[in-house]
Amino acid sequence: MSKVLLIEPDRVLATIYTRTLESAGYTVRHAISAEQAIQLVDATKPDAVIVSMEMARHNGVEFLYEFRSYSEWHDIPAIVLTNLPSTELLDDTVLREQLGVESVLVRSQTRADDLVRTLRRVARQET
Amino acid sequence: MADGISHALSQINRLSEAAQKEQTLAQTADWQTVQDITQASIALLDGYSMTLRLQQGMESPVVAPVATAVLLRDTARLLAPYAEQFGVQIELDVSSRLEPILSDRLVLQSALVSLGQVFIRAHAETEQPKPIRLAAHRTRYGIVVGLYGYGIEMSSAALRRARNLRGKAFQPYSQFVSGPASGIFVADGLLNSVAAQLHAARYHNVAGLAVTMPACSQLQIV
Repeated sequence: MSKVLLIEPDRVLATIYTRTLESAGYTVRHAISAEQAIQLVDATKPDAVIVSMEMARHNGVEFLYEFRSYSEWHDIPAIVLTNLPSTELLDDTVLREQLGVESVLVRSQTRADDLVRTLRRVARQET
Repeated sequence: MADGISHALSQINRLSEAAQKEQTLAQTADWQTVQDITQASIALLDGYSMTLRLQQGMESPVVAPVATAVLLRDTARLLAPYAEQFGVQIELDVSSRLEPILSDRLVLQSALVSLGQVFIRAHAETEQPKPIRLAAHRTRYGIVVGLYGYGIEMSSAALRRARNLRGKAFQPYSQFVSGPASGIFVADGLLNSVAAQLHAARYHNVAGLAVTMPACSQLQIV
């Protein structure tokens, strides 16, 4: 697993996450919106996607529903970044079983290193 | 408000983490980012505490003629470093011949800065950020001062919906910006405290949020 698509509307956070992931050996493409992300998934065929739940216009859940509706993308692991407390998120079953979310990370509690660790854990599960 | 500040602190935290990891004293650009984000958050907090002081009568607005062009230039100057961090340009559109408006300059400026921060964030979240425009123009109701730019759902109904969701939803203005849009509500509170109202507006076919203030024919420097 080396190609990662990062979907993060905040340019400052996206730059830092990209720097950390690249220094850990990942090739990172960054999308700023759900629309751009769908185009990039199609163009770059990532091995994993990291998606922010909070985006303007189309949020992370809308992206994931669209993303999972294509059979060729069913198996790409997804990691969710959010500011929402877990009580306000979708039901765990919906996230994991219907939308194929491997991990939910709360942004304020997640260091960039945690993101790398989560990606590695997800990669191990995949193999 | 808490969510807005928490987000800024997360950005700073991640920057310091990156600096630590890269074994550098942080790149100069990173320090600049930290300073600009901190400054913007302080401005937001100052605006909020000013709203509370005005609403609780601890402070009274100082109403005097305010030169519109100067107000907008100062606002653009205050917003410029934050805009630069997010790759957004600010355009000024104001005639120097526009008469002064009657308001509390500090309150008005604070409201425009808070509003500007939300516009900058919202524009930075588009694939190719377009400039935002700080503008003032004369109408028969008074002088309209506001921020305009790319923004779907910048209608009165969307603003009303966002106000209803304030404090209840993480993204009250979800069609515009990904965050809590605290700046809009700080601007709302500040303008209410000087008997003005933030409203959706259009200028040169661009949508935005603005406030209409009475024009003042009194000379500003006497």
